[in-house]
Amino acid sequence: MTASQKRTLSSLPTELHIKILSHIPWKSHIPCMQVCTLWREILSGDDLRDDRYIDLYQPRYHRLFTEVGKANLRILKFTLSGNAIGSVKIAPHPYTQICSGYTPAPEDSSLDELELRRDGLLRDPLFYHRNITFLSDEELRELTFEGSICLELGGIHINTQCIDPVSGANHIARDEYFSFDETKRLSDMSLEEFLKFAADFTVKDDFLEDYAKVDMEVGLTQWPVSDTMLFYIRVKNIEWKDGRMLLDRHSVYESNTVDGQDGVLEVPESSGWGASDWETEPASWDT
Amino acid sequence: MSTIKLLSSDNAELAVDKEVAERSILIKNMLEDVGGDMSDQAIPIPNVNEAVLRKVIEWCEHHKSDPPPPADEDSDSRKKSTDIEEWDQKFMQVDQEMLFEIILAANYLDIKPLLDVGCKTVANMIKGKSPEEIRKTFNIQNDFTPEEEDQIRRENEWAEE
Repeated sequence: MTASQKRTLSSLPTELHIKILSHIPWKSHIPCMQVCTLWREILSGDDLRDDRYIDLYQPRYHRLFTEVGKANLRILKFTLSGNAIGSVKIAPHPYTQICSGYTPAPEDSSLDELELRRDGLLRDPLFYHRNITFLSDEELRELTFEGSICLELGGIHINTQCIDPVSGANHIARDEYFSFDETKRLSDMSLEEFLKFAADFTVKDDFLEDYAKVDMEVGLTQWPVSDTMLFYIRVKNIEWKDGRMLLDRHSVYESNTVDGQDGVLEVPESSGWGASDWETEPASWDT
Repeated sequence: MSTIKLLSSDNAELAVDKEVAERSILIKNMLEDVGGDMSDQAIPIPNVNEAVLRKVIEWCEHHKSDPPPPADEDSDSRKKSTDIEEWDQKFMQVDQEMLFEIILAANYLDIKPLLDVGCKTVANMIKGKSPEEIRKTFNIQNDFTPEEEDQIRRENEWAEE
């Protein structure tokens, strides 16, 4: 090493990159996977990928949507067009108080609106069948809220929430349970495959038959307190093949102040299902 | 207290307490191999220059009476905590070049606690930053192929923008 050569992070051997990255919290894995190909490779490896799963449950599941006991939930926003999934972004969960009594810890806002790469995090499986690491009794009590949480997952429950194009009310269009036993492909689905699974499930609904493009968000309705992970899919905006658009209630509010929004169906303020829940959406949601 | 001499890559001779130098497992093993008596001969440290070696010795002086790190290397390095004690934080307030030199030296000299502090310091600089900010901070080349980058831009089509 001569004085003229400047020592940089990139000049360090791979083993030291691994050591450095093993010290970052899992949430920082997401942006770090997009820095360079070496980091993507290191963070996709088994050792560090392990940090992105909740240890408690069997099968273990990805921390992306939630962290047990922390009440910090995230959703994924994506667009389905021509039966293919477009960009996928992370966003904070629209429910601010998903479980009462737990206030969200200050979030790492660097994740908000971060575009996820196909070759990065979206390759992670949603579920990770591996033996549970044994925790101390104290840790276990804390995490399971005195043992009230079941630690073995049987499957997932998905419901689709959307605005009825006729009445304008929020409603649950589809609602179904998929067990690991009967839906084998659920067990080793990647996050991207899961989004496709959820999207396909959603567009099976009759009224979406002639869609050209749908904006959706996927998140947990709550973190698992039973043996089921409860996912919701919300249809945000729909564009039909004939060019008509349906924006959801909050988007309609926005569009009233914007020119050139002809063809937008006016969605009356709904007193339908869950209307009051949606009032809690943060104001920044549609910016 | 016996003293030994270390010879840096740029030929500076530094006198160090044996106990301090033995924070380095590499030096400790070397001394054991030669039977402990190196009082008249400097140990060459070919990968580390004087400035870095002085910095490393400063750390070893301060931490000379720390308990030895746990033998289970693996479990230790898996700890996610990025907490760094106050003295070490101040010690690590150096420019990036020196920081990476210290990390390399700690790795070469096999001083695990110092290596951990160095890696945690870098980890703390990474936390909470966007990919572009990280690349800028550390001058990292974006080596994704244009196709890989393009894939993201083309698919970026959420309606609400």
